[in-house]
Amino acid sequence: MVELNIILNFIGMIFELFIIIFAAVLLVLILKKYFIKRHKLTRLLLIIFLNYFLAILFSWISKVFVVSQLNVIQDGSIIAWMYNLISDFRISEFFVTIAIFLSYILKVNVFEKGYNALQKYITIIYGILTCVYVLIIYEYGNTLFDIIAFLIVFIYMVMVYAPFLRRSIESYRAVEEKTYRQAFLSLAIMSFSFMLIFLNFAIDRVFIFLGSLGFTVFYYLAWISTIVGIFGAYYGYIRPKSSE
Amino acid sequence: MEKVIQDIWILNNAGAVLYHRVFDKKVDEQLFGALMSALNLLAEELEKEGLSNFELKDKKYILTKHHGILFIVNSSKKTKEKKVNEELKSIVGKFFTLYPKEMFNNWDNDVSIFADFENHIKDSLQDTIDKFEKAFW
Repeated sequence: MVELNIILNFIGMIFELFIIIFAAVLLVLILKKYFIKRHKLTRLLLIIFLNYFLAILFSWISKVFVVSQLNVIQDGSIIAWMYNLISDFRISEFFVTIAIFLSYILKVNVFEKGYNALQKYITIIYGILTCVYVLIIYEYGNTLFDIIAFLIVFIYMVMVYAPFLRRSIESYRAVEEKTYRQAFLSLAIMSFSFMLIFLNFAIDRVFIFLGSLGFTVFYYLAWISTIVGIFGAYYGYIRPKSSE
Repeated sequence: MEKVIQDIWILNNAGAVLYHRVFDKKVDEQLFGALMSALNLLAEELEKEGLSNFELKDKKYILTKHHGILFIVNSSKKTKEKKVNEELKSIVGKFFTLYPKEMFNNWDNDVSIFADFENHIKDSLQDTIDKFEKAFW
């Protein structure tokens, strides 16, 4: 059982390594874009994807913990707490929450004419509550708490990326130039893929709750959604070249 | 990125230009004469309310009249008519939201009050594309 868990984590670790490489390449391309554009929204996009990158990195580190059999004594110390937050994906969820909130700011800046006061406060309060939950509401070995954490982040993702998806589709339908149509379609695919990530992770955790070792097909679907999202971001933000 | 609607003129019954937005300021004199002549004919046809259009050189002109106010816009011939009509409808709607028809009963002929209209008709899609072009594309 323990050996099988290590093997599954090892496969996950290798799989996530490829995701890290994809994410790192995208991050470098956004950085290059920022040096060209020097625009505040490019900087914002860079920070968003830096957070996503850190989330993936910490997820990968959690696999390294298991594969290398690096354990800590559960004595309630800060080190044990940090170890648990990393190994149970909580640090990753924290970075994703930050990225989602920044994505909301990006969405308003590119698609809207200003903030809707109610939406803004709901997004801020929900974001803060999500951070509090993922960093504090934790019990070692309690999978139910983890499922809730994934679902909370999934809802936050939907709150921000569903309107992003809608706006991207509207723009895709309205614009006539092929390059821009493709860009908006890519952003729509990116938004949809991002929403699927945490839904799949939550389902994978439900299987763990039911007695599975995890790493079900939903775990892989979550990371495949990440890859699709990364490509969507590339074709939506980086690849298109303005005709001006 | 080409705009759906390029130039806009808004005139009242007396022919006074209440608002205009012209992107291509270098208009050929002969072309302008032909344009005015065509507009004059079409405006007469549009006695009450309705929509009319014609093509001149490489552009398509659309006219519509509402509550005695004539709206004239042009676009590239390549742009789909449905999109131009939709945007024109939106411009007309915004105009009468900002300047209700009752306002014209007591209007003192001061056209400066329409100067602010520019900020209200900025195409939201164009605005989005402009932002993407500046920041990413």
